[in-house]
Amino acid sequence: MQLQLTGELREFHEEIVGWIHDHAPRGLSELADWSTPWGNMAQYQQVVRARQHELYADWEKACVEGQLICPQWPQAVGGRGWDAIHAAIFDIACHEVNVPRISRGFGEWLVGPSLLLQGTLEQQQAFLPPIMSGQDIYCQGFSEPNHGSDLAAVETKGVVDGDEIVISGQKVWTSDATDANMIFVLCRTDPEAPKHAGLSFVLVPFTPENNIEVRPIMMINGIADFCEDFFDNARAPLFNVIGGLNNGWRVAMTALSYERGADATTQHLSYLPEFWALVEQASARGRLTDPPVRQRLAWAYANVELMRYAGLRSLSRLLAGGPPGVLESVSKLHWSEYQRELGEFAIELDDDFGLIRPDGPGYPVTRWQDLYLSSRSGTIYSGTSEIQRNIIAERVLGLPKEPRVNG
Amino acid sequence: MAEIAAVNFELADYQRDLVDATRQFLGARASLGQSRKLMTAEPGFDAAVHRQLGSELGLLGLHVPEEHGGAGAGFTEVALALQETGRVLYPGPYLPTIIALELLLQAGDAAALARLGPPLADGSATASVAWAESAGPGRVDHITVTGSQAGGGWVLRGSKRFVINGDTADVLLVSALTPEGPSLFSVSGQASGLTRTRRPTLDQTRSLADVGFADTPAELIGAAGAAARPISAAFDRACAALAAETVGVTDATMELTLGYLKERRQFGRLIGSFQALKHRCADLVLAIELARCAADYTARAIDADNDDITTASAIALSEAALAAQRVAGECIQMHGGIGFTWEHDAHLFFKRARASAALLGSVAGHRERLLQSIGV
Repeated sequence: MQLQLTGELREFHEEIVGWIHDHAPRGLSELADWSTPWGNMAQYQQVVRARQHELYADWEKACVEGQLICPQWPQAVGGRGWDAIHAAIFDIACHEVNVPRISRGFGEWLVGPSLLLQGTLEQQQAFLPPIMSGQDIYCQGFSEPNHGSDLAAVETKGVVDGDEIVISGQKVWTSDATDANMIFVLCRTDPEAPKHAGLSFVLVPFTPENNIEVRPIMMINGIADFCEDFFDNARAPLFNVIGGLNNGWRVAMTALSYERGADATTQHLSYLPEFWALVEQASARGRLTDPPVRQRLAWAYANVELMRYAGLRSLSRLLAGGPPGVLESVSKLHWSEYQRELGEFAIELDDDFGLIRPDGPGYPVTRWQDLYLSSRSGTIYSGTSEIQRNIIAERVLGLPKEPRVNG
Repeated sequence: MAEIAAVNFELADYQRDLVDATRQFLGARASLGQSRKLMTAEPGFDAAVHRQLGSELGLLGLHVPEEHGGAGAGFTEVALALQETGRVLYPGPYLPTIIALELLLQAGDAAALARLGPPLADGSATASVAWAESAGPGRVDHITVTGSQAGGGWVLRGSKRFVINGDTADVLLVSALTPEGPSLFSVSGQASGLTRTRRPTLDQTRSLADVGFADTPAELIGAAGAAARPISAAFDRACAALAAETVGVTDATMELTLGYLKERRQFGRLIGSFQALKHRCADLVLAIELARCAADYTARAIDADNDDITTASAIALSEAALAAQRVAGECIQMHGGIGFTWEHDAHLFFKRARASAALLGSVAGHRERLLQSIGV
């Protein structure tokens, strides 16, 4: 019953692993654990630092030359045209060798798909190549102080002025803002229309010269990884409106639902080392024979294995060419809730009962303090657990929507 | 390095046909309504239906090699059939026969398999495994039943508990301690000195018996003292089987619940539109889908003879048992008063869920088994 990868896919895997071995600079694997989940923010800082290393730049250059940037994009725009299964195998190969899978972040996963699915040919030609080259780095301008989960109610104004659009308002919780030179903004271009019908999706130069002020926001773990952004008549050409004026909601939903089939297949790989580190911590604290601790460790391992099984099932579905199933819809709820509960357990096993932080300037934390704090973000970003549950209840189970009290 | 091997979770056409045929047959001959009727009758199941599971549908010997009267299919197919029997809380000896056949296969005694296998596979006989004592099922370190040689054969002394459909089984496979160590025996349901008592069960759709042996003649299966490995391997597979069955139980419970949420109105709205219920349903979906995934994975791991079958079966059964109990509890709660009545089916699922969380050991026990299987 176990399907080994078919000849072509097996060769593809061998070829990719071989390519990585031939082209990855020596020492790159030792720089960081490149599989560290972004959600473990303090831990993840080692990845952020390692990205500044010249070996990373060498590797990035090799991937650009080897056409391994955004390889799931069509060949016509410079990608490889890989389907989800090939993309997944590439991700797995990077994990196996422990090299970073060079990602263009929001540009690759949100802006690119929006352009590919809703943009004109001219827009694709203008915006995709700079994403691939790394010249344009995007951040996300969706949430506002008054509109988070209720995204369609955003108030940031977009006013057409000749062949430009002029944007005023405030966005918030913008991650990756420090490196970004572009932002994709959901703004209201028709205040008279019903709330979903008056929005536009615009790519805006993200610079102080364009009248955008960025203020970092300190998070509960002491890291300032996200920002609030103030738009005071920021300008972008009308050409930068994707999918047409007042069609922004559809573009945003298309972008958010873009399938990342590859993610599920590699997810457990980053959580497995975390489990074993926790076993080591429990052992060091003399708690490994404590039955309640053992029960919770077993619970943790079961969850990592469940992610592996789920990944295999996704892979199986990709191989069969089927659409994503129920499992893909519950995946975000699963890992984010798992990480949060693990954090609550892990800090109990921390040195000094989790009471004492490491010495040093700022707010340095231990690995388990970090997990305890940072894991509170996963159930909020990219659709809160409550929004996830609404989606599962309504789209998977077909339960009726709640009556709306506003448009 | 991670092994790049995709496990095939997609059903082939013949597997879909198997599911459809089983569901259709059970719907006609062994529906949930039938299970309810039989639970207060003797012997608690319809013997004709059980025979048909073997003779007509070929479900009993699915995983038995063809030379022993089986279909030569895999554990994956067995798991599919078990999900269907779970959906209707099938009270007959399907699960115990599957476990008994698995134990026979693991014991690797060709003569015993040739003698016992064919009638079990075609449904003309039923079997159950008597391997539970006070220490719990499938244990080889706490066996108190003894086997000793007498007059050229073997006799057993002692007692076993929680034997599924044990009061009616034609053959019992019994773990016993001999001077050589843990050993496996078959005992005929007609054997002298055998006492069998059907006990009143929390879950009336699953019959359990106490079995006593007083110098009861028995036939040795495999070599004396060689049963530890086959018992432990069969126990993993029994857990995988119960996990698959429990996923079926959970699916049926969730369908019952959802049907009500989409039909019952309060405060002028369908109650399924209330977020307080929707969010809990979403959490149930998460639990169900993960349990299903684990049960499906385990069945395929068994067919591929992976080295993580103990780990996977422990995860599959603990997840399935937890999901089933949670969904059945919510089924009662979301139905309100009607859900607490004898007349409604919710309690049947609630009781089966609890029983399956204990039948092969507790969730805590499976979790401990899991940790030990990974060396922690």
